[in-house]
Formats: sequence, structure tokens, C-alpha cells
Amino acid sequence: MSDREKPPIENLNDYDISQELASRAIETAGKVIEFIEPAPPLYHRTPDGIHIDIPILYQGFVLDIIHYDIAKNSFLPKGKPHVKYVGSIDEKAIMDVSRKFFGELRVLDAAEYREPERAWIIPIAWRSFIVAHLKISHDGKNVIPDYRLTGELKRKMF
Amino acid sequence: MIIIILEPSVLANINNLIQWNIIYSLLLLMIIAEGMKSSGIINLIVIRFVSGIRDNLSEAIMFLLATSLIATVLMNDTSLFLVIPMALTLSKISKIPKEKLVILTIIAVNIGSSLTPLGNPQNLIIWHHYHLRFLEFVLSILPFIVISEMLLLLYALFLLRSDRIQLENDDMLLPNIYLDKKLGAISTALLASFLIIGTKYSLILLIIALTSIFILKREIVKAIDPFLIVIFILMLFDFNSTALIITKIINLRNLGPHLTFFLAIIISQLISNVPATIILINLTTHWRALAIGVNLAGVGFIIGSMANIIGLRLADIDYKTYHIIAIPYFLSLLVITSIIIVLT
Repeated sequence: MSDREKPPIENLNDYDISQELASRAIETAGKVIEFIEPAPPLYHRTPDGIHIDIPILYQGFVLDIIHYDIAKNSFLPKGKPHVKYVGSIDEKAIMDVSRKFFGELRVLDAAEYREPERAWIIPIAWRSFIVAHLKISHDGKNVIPDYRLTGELKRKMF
Repeated sequence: MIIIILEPSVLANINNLIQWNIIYSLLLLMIIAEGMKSSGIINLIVIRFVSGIRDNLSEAIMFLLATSLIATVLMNDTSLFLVIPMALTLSKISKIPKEKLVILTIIAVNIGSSLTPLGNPQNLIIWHHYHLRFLEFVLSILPFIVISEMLLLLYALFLLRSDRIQLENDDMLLPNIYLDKKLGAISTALLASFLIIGTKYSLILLIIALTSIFILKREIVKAIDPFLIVIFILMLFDFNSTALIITKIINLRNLGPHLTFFLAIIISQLISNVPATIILINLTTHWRALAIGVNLAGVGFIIGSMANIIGLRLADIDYKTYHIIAIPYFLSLLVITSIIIVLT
């Protein structure tokens, strides 16, 4: 991430990392996941199989995506994007399943800090998988969207 | 192809038919709208508008007003992409059924976007074609917007009356989207510049916008769908050519204001309001009747405004539910507006 994309730091030093800021970021992520919604899936076929992603939508922005296993109608852990599947894709069914599973998402109680992005990364779990990350600003207050994915979803809407 | 076979002269006239300044302006407004949206400032405004209200019905009314306000300066597709997820959040907090709130929000976006040349493509085309001043356009359309908005709020009160509850606490104080002040300031400056210089120098402004926003946040420029621009180019070519053929075959020119208004509504319900606008600008000088007709049609059947589909898809609401809620509003507004148009 370049300098221009770095989140604001108010009255904070770049290196001012504390347990309090991490806790605040986790708390913010906890509030955010109460109000996220699944957006219509993004998908494409690859030589390795079908790749279906469910965008996590919050206030008109995509925060991250969750990989979807269409063969088992289940979420996949981060890092496993494809499944082997031959058949049609029922977007409505995927949305219904995703909406149900979104209610089971929970914020894990620890944060990773990414120095280049000056942001906290909070893991989001579904059952025993880590399925997504939320990016929270250095001061722990604001959520940082994924602007590339937001654009991709908007293009799909047409 | 059919048009070229029927009227080969359109090829020689291609630049006039496409009207490149409209394409540049449209692209510019899309980039500005994305820039304003991505700055996070609009989210902040909407949340400030609705926070602190403990009655869910009043909260919904304030949200619809904020939505209409935002839609006056953002292109309608960007407005919908931004406010529909917010409507879903508000529906969760306020316990208002999402179908009702989302469809009322879609109508609010359509009304707000009708007020200015910035709000939707049909207004931009009318503003450019008739060489109107910004304030002239806004002031002429304003009475229609006031009536539409008042009717919407009354309709919302009627529709949501049985869902009214008192909210226990102010849950609308949600975590904000990261606020990019620089991006917000540049997008606002570009918008102000466009309002001052209009569509005439839109190419220069487009180059400035592309460069500055690409430097600041390149994802915004990448988010613009090139196919959408191609569709607008084809629409301008096809429907301007169609109008040319119509005028040659049946010599239909200088439609009166009443006929312009009713044709705008009927054609929009058949082929959507942007193509209807492109055809009718060639056949009438009554731009106000045209603008009111095509914008009113945007809240009718789903085909009336294709941007509405974004809202329904994001909220996973079917067309039947949309029509059950939107059509009574559309018919009421149509009756009121028709009486005013015919009597004045």
C-alpha cells in the first residue's frame, strides 16, 4: 500500500502500538460484523475448478470476500479459493445459504498489525475456519474497505 | 446494423449522433461520484442525519430525505450502490421490513436524482442538448421534486405505520468508513468546476479528474466499467438515429408539452428512460415536460430505470415485490403531475 492509501493517524505516532488500540480495533470489528450483508457472488471458472466469492458488504463497500464451496454449500477457509464442480450456479441458493452463515460469523479476539498499511487486521471466523479479515485503521476507530473489490462488485451489478 | 441499412447517411453523421461531450461528461460524473462515495463523507452525512432518533418511523423518514439529498449530486447508480446497503442496516436496527425500506429508498434516489443534471444520465443529456444553465434546470424541475418528495413521505408514513416502534438506544452510531478528506475535497472541487464550465469543456476536466483521482486512489478509476460507456455510446448512436428516421418517415417534430410528457412516460416504460430521452430530445423543444416525464417514469415499472435493478439485486428483492410497492406510488404521482401539466 502506498502512502496515499494509509489511514489517518490522529495524535498518534506511527509506532505507537498498544494493547488498547488493538482492543479498540477488535471492538470496532465486532460492531461492524453485526451489520454486514452478503452481496451477490462473484465467480469464475479456472483450470483448478470453480471459484466463487461472497463479498462482505458494509455501508456500500466491500470489506473482504469469503470463498464459497458450491459442492458442499459451505464456506471455505481463506487460502482455499477453488473447488472441483461441474454444474449450474444458483445465485439465489448461494445467497440464502450465505445469509444464514453470515449470522454465524464471529470476530476472533486478537489482531495482527500491518506496518505498511498502518492498519489492524482482525480475523473473522466461521465455525473452525478463518474465512475473512477486516481491516481497521491504526487508531482502531474506522473500517477500511477494499476499494478494488467494491469496484468489481459494482461492475457485476450491471 | 438495421439502422445503417435503413439510413446509410447516419454513418457520415456519426460524431453528431454520439455527442462525445455527453460521453465525456458522463464518464466524468461517474468518476466524481465514485470519488465522493469512496471518500466516506457521504456515509458520515447519512449516519449523522439519522442518528439520535429514537422512533423508527421518524428515522426512516430522515433516511429517505438524506437519500434524496445525496442523489442530487451523485449519479443514480452510485447513489443506489451506496444507500441500499445502508437501508439494509437501518432495516435491521429499526425492525422495518427490508422490502418496504429498500423500495422506498430506490424511489427516494430516483426523486433526488431528478433535480439536477448531475443526478442521472437523462438529465445530463437534456441539460447538454438544450444548452440550459444549471440553476435554470434546477428551478424548473424543483416544483415537481417537492410534490414527489412530499408524496413519498406521505406514502412512507402510510406504508410503515404498522411497523412503528420506539428504539431503545441510538444504535445507528456505527463504526465509520475510513474518511479520506483529500479525496473528498478533490471530488467536490471537480464537481464544482463541472457545474461552472458545463459540458463544453468536459474532456479537459475529465483528463484532470482521471489524473488526479488515479494518483490519489487508482481503484476508483479502475472501478469504472468500460462496457457501460460503450453501452451509452451505442445508445446515443442508435436512438438518435432512430429519431432521425422517425422524423423522415412521419415528419414528427415539435411535439407539444402535453404530448411530450405522456410520450416520455409511455416510451420510458417500454424501452427505459435514457433511450426515451435520446429519441424525444430530437422531437420536442419542451425540455421541462420531457425531463419530468422521463424522471417520473423511473419510479414506474422496473424497465423505466435500469439503475433500479442494482438496488433490487443488492437487497435480493424480486421484481414482483418491487412493483407491488412502487406502482401505487407511481400511479398517484402520475395522476397529480398529469393534472398539473395539463392545467398549466
